[in-house]
Amino acid sequence: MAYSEILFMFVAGVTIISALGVVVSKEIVRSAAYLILALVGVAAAFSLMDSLFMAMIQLLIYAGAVMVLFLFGVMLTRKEAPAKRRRLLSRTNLSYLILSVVLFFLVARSGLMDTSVLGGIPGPVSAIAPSLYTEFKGVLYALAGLLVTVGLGAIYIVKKEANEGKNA
Amino acid sequence: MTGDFLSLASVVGLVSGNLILRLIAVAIVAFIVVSIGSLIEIYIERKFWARIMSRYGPTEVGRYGSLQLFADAIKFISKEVFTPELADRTIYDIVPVLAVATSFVVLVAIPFDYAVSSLFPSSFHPSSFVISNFDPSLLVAFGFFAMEPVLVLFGGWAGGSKYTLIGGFRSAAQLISYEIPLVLSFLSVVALTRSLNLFQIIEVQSASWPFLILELPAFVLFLIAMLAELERTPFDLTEADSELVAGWNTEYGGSKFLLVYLSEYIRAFAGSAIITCLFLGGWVGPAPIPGLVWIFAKTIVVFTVLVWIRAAYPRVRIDQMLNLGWKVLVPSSVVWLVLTPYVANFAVVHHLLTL
Repeated sequence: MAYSEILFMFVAGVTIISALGVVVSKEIVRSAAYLILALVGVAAAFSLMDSLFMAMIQLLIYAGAVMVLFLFGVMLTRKEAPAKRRRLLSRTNLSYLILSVVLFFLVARSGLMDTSVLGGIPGPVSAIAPSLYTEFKGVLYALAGLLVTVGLGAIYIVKKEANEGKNA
Repeated sequence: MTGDFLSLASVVGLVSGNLILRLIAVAIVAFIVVSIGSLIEIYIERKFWARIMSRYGPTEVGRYGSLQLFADAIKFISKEVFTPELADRTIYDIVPVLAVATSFVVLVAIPFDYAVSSLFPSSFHPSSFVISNFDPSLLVAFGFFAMEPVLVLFGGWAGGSKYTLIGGFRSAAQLISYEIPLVLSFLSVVALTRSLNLFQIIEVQSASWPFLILELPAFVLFLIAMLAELERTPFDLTEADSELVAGWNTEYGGSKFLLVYLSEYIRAFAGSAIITCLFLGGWVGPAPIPGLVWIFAKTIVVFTVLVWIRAAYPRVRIDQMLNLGWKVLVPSSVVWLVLTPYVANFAVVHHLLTL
């Protein structure tokens, strides 16, 4: 077995263990730390699969930016996870079950059928842009519309609160 | 002599054939470069800053106080290693180490190894030895640069004190909001060179002009955003001494504080080196001086300018800082990004891209 495969196994192991840690950990900031470790592990897995671009995007956006927003929320609450035992047939366990079935099918799909590289062009980073802006431009427009809507909505909410604050 | 040379050549052959050995060699090169770089930086910070303020700075230890840094390092190491009672032990201990590690990894993407290996004869040929010439090297640098806010938040939270927590929140808010103009302003360089490879960006500059001239607005925006990212003085409200003791690293002491301090200077060195590569032409220079000297000297000059700014400007308030980021830097970097194609046409750089 090549050393890159051993390395990949190690990275995958760390990712899985820290993903479990997110769920199991009692303290919520610890869960966030495990989540960061899992995201960094995914980035490392990307880079071991010769996709450094995806790895760095993962690091820059998820581990760097999104997690900071999570942490802002989490650290301000300082709530510990409920310590009491759950019943076996609770809603939480049902949602875990549904999520794991969905995940199983996702993994099985990528394992059984052939998935393709973005736009079917494996290769340099510069090949991503033409594929993204021609073949997938519908998806791009939809995402852009969604982002603009979300941004406008956020501004609306903030403005409303600021006005209320002025009146009070 | 010949025997020595042959063994040297065979060692080089062995090292350049094996990726892991190459990585280790490059890491050693980066370590030496950054050690010398940070020493010079801290000395400049002390001495140059002091001279601007009509002080002498360190004078006692060594000639012109040059050994003061070593004395400081020994002092930090010999202090007691402690953990505050309210601290989260694991996270508290691991954050300084990770801060140094992530700051250090940024240097892998910066072509110091090319500059070093081009000093040696052809057996150290750059193409067989250089590791920093890979495709999204600029993105790698910023990917690891972007890990800092997470570490700052965890460091501030794990200290167990309200000052470190508030300092951590301030730092993270600042780092996150200035990452956007930082990335937008270097995107215009990327659009001009059509490459995320710092190597290629420098080569395009060597064939045309340095981007300091072609991309002056982007350079100014990038410099301001980088100042904020390095939390240096106009933007050092995360360490506002009178309000927050010392920001998120208040509870760190002894050798852990040494690591935090070191990571700040490694980040400053890496940031100056990125500015050098993106806008000042990296190892390229007019006189026949080795590239290593050029890239190193330019980095130090950029850092000196940062110290100069630190001495010249007062600290901004947090609302001024956020307004500057969101209302000035982000819109103007977007506008400049839109204007960049015209600059490219004007400067006729696109024919150089087949290098």
